[in-house]
Amino acid sequence: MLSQQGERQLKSKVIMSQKSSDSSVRPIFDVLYFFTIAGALALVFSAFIAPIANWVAFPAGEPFYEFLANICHQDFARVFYAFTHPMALCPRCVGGYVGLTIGLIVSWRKLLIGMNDCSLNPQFGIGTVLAIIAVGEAYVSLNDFGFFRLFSGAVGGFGFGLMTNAVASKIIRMTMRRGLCI
Amino acid sequence: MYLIFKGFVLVIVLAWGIVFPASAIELKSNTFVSLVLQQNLNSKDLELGDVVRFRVGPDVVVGNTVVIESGAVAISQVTAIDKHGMIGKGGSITLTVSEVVAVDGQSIHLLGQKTVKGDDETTGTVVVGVVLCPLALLNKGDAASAGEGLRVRAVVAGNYEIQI
Repeated sequence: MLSQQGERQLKSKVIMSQKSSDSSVRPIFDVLYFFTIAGALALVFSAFIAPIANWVAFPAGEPFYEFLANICHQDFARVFYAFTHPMALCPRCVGGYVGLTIGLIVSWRKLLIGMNDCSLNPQFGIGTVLAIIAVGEAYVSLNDFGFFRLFSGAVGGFGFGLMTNAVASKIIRMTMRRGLCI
Repeated sequence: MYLIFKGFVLVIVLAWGIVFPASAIELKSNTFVSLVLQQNLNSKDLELGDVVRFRVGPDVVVGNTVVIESGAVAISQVTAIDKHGMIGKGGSITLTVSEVVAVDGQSIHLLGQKTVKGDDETTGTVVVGVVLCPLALLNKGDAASAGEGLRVRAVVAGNYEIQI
């Protein structure tokens, strides 16, 4: 049996070990997250740039449309319009990438109450549920209204962001062989 | 008496035209028009200059008025075509959209282009041909093909007055 003081010392040692693990892992995470978030935002930015470029000087926006056609259906009847031209990503895709960005930032920076290194499992669970709900909604297509699809995409993206952070954190922690939660 | 009657009718017609003038809406240059392909295309069957028909997707609306109806026929031409060939060369078709008919029957000039490419197998064919068997160089790439429903972005070229 450990005395109360001994237990406290052990806890502080484990917390110190977590902190040192965090400090060594953080730069790797920062770079990975930066590129993921920058990529997602670049796609959303391109989706806005395409109609503006075509509006200013057709066909200046066509390369953006052609590139983004690889990841989105770009159905004219189901996209938002900017300056009378259709955006290069549908609302669900825009919502998805924005949601992913928010999810990653929130979970990485632990911006919500209860988010810490010991809540990765609940984060993964909540993220999975949100992602499944969004994918299910996309599959059955509950509503074709643009803003609904934007919201649905954002929910799914947010969930996917939480999942990604939880999985990445776990993998890095397992690799470092540290990170005991008390 | 007959002349007076004719003069009276003329005055009525002119007055009607002044009081209720035909409204015109300006269709501005660079207005977006979405087009949907109405036929199946294959680079094997097409020649340079062939006419390909599209239909307008959603209505083109200025303010609250439809100026180009959904389903209106748009004409395009094959402006470049590459047949598929040996050494894995894939085919390609370039369609250039030229015009569409507005609600008042006026022909509206459009700008828009779409290139459809078949799978190019040149690299794989050359590698296999050089490493394994020269006969592989006889392999042909895929012809370019596009199905009904292919969407093309086009814009109105120039300003038009559409009579409503």
